Amino acid sequence: MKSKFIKSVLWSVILIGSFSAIYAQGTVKDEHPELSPEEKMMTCRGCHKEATPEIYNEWYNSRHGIDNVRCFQCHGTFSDFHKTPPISKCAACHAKEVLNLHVPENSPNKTCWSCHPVHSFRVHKGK
Amino acid sequence: MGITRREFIKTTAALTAASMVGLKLPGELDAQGMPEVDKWVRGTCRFCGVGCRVEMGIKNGKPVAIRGVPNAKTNFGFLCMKGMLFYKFMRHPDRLTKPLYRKKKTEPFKEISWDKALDIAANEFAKAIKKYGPNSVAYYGSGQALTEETYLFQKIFRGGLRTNNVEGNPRLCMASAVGGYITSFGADEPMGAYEDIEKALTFFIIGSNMAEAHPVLFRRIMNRKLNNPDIVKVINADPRVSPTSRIADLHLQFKPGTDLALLNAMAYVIIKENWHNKDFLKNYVTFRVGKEKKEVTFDDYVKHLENYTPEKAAKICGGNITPDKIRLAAKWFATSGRTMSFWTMGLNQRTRGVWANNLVNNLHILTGQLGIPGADSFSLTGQPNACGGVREGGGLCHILPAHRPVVNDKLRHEVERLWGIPEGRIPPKPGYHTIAMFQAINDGKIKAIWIHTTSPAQSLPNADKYRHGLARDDVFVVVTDIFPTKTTELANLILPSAFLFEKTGVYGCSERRSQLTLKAVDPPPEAKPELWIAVEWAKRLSKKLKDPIVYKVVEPFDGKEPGFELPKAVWSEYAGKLTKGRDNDLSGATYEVLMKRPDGVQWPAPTQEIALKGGTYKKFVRGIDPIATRLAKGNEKYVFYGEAHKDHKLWIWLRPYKGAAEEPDAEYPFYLSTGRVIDQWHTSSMTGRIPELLQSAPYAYVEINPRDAMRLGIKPNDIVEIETRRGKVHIPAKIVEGPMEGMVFVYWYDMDEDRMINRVTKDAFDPGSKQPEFKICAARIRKYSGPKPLKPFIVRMKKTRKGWVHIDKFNIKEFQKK
Repeated sequence: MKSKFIKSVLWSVILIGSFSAIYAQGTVKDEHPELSPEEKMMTCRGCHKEATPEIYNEWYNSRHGIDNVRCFQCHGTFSDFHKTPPISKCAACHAKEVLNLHVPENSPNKTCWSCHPVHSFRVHKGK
Repeated sequence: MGITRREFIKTTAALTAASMVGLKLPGELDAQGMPEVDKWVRGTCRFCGVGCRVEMGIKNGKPVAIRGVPNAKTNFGFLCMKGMLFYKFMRHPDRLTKPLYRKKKTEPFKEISWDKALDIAANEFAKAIKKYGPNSVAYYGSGQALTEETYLFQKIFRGGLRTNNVEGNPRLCMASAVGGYITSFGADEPMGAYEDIEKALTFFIIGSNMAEAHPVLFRRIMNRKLNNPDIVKVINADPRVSPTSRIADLHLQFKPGTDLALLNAMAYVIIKENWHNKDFLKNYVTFRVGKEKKEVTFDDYVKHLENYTPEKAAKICGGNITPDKIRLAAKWFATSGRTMSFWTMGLNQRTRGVWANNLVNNLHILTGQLGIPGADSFSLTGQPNACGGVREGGGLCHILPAHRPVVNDKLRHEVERLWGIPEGRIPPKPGYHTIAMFQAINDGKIKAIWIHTTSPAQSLPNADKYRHGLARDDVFVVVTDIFPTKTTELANLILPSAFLFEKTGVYGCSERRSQLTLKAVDPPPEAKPELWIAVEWAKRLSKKLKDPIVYKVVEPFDGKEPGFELPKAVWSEYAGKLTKGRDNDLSGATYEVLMKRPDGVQWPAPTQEIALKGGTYKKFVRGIDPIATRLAKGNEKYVFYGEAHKDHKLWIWLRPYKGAAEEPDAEYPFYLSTGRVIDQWHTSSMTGRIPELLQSAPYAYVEINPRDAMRLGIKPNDIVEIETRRGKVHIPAKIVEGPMEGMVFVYWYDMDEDRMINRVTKDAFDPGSKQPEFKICAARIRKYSGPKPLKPFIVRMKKTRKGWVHIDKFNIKEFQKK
C-alpha cells in the first residue's frame, strides 16, 4: 500500500510540475494530493525521501538541509501549500536579498532560484 | 493508508483544475515580494537563548509576518522555523483572555473581573503570610519572562514580603553552568561572544544538540566548517548521534555520565604532550580541590590526572571511545590555538553538572584559550532570558539582582539601600531552590505560589510527585500565562497575560547581550502585562498586610502607562541603579540607547558611550573590557576581577569521575535521556498551536538504537512502554542510529499524559547547583503494542454551563489522594 501511495505522490508531482509554469512565483496557492489525517502527521521529508529522492537528496545535503530548514518553511503545509513558494517565505531569513532583487537594475521577475538552484541552493547555478 | 488509483486520478484532476484557475491570495505580498504590512516593529525572538533579532510585520493592528534583522550580530537576519512563525499563535482562539478563578481545584473556573482577581490573589498571599510567615509564599518564574518582570517580582517578594523564595525554571537548565563559571572564572557568564565563531578553528560541542536547540547559532558553526573544511575541526561529544553530528569530524559517543572521565583524560593528554600554556598558567591560574577550595599545585593536578589516562578513561566511557580518539580530540582542542566549546543540558542537567562544567573550563584554562579571538568556553542558554532576566535580574533563591549573593551582608544591604527599604528587610538566608520549593509544597510548608510563564507540572523531573503537591486544596496556585497548560490544570487563579510584542521589555541572551522588544500590538481584551499585574497586586497586598514597605517597593512604578513607561521605569531602576558598578553593568544601556541599537548591548556597558557602540565583546581583557582596563595595574593582558575569586585568578579544579544518581542495572537496564526537537518549544503550549509545527512534530517518539530494537522485537511506530522506578509512559518507537546501544532518548515537549516523559524522569539534583539530572536515569523498555493511530495533544479549555474546564484526561482527584 505504501509503495502505491508513494507512486501516486510521485505522479502527482510530475503532473503538477507540468502545469506549474503558469504560476507567478507562488502568488497562487496549490493543493497537495489528498492525504489521510494519519498521513498528514508524517513529515514531508519522511514521504518525499522515497517519493522524490533526487529532490530530497538535494535538500538534505544542502546547507538548508544540514541546518534543518524544513520543506514546510518554504512550501507551507496542507492548508497553505505552494509548489513554488512565495518569495516572502525566503524573506523571513533573506530579507535584504529579497529586497535587493527588486532594485531597478534587476529584472522585476527575478527570483532567488533564478540564480540559485532549487533545493540545493548552491551559491550559483553551475558552481 | 494509501490511495486508490481512482482516488488518485480524482485528486490529480482537482489539483490540475486548481492549478489552472489559481487561488489568488490578494494583498499577501507587496510590490517587492515582502508581506504587505503597515509597519515592521523590532524585537527579539521568543524562543531559545540565541537572541535572534526579528521584526514583526503589523497589518491593521494584527501581527501578520516575521522577518529577521539582517544587521543584527546575533543572527544576521536568519531565523529558525519557530522564530519565523510565532506571530501565528498570537491571535489563537485558545488565548487566555479573562481572569479565571476557582476556590477548590476540582471545581470549574469562573470568569471574574481583574479587580476581584487581584483582590483574591492579595488576600490568599496575605492570609498565608499572616498565619504561617513570609516563607509560606513563593514565586516561580521563568527564563522567558522579561527582565523587568523578574526584577519586579523578586523585588516584591524579597523586599516587600521578606522571603527569598524566588526561583525559576533556569534552575532546571543552566544552574550548573552558573556554578561552573563562578567556581572556574570567579564570575558568571561567558567571557566571549558569538563573534568568536567566525574566528575559531576547533569547535568542541559536548552535551548539546545545538542543530535543533540553537539552530541559528549552529548555522554559523556549520558555515564556518563548510567554508573551511580542511582548516576547521568539529568534535561532537554526545552519547547520541544527533543532527549536530552531521558537521562533526569526530563524534565521541560515550556512556551517559562518563564524560567527566573523558574530559580529565583530554587534560592528561594535553599535559603529557606538553600542549599546555605555561605562561598563562603561571600568570593567571591556581589549582583547587574539594569543598574547602584548597589550593594545590600543578604537580598535584598531574597526579590526579594519572587516574584518567586515555586507556583508563576509554574503559570507563565505553561506546565508541578509544584511547586514540581521546588523543585526537585533545590534540585538536589544544593545538588549534583558537578552540571554542559549546554545551547545554548534556552537561548541566546532571548530579555532577558543576563538575562537568569545571572540566570543560579546565581545558580552556590549561591551554590559555580564553580572552583571545576565536577561543571561549561558552555555555548556551536554553531560554531567551535565562541569562538577562534570571541570572542577572535576581531570579534564583540565592542571588539578588546583578550577581549579588543573598548571603553577602554588604551586598544585601546595598540592595536594601538602593530600594530605599530598611536594612535587614531582605532575609539573609536563601530561599528554597526549585526541587526543595516543590517538595515544600508537597509537605504543606508553602501555602501560596505565583507561577509565571512556565509549566512546572510538565517540566519538573518526576513531575507526578510534585503534581500531588500542586493539587492540594490548601495550596493556592496563581498562574500567569497566555495559554492553558498542564500547570493551569492545577491552578486556583489563572491570570491572562500579554505576550512579547504586546508589551515592552528586555531579553538578555547567552552572550551577555540585552535587547529591547517594543510593544507592537495590543494584547487580547483583558490580557494584561505582568508588570501592571504585579504592581496592582502589591498595592493590595500592602493594604491587607498593613505593611507600607510592600507598597514602597512598587511606588516608583505606580500609575505608569503599562505599554512603555512602566517597563522603562523598572528597567531604569534595575539597569541604572542596581547594575551600576557591578560586573554586569548595564547603566549605559538605557531604553533610548537600546532603541538605537539593532542588536542590543553586551555588558559591561557602564556608560552610554560604550553602550552605543554595543558594549563589551570580551570580558576581562584589558583594552576591550572597560572594567579590566580600569583595574589593570601592570602589564597584564587580562584582569580576572570576578568577585568570587579574591585572588583574581582562574581556577583549575581537580574533579574526579562520578557516575549518575541512578545507573542502569539488571532490573532497569537502559539509560533514559530526554531532549528537544527543533519543531517544538519546551512544553509545546505555544508551538503546538502553530499548525505547521504541530504537523512537523505531532507527538513524542522514543529513539531506540536498531540493535536494541532488533533484540527486543520493536519495529518503527510500535508503542513502547518505558518504565522507571517512578512510573510508566507509552510512546511510539523511532528506530535510529541516534542513541548508543543500551540508551533510549525521548522528546520532552509532549503534553499527553501517556507520553509526558517527565512523569518518569528522576529528580536527583547536583549538590552545588541544585539542578536536576534530567539527562540520566535507569529504565526498562518493552513493546507494548503494534502501531496505533495517535493524535497530537495540546491542553485547551472550554466553557461549559458550570464554568471553564480543561480538556484533558488528567484527573486532579487522582492527584489529591494521599
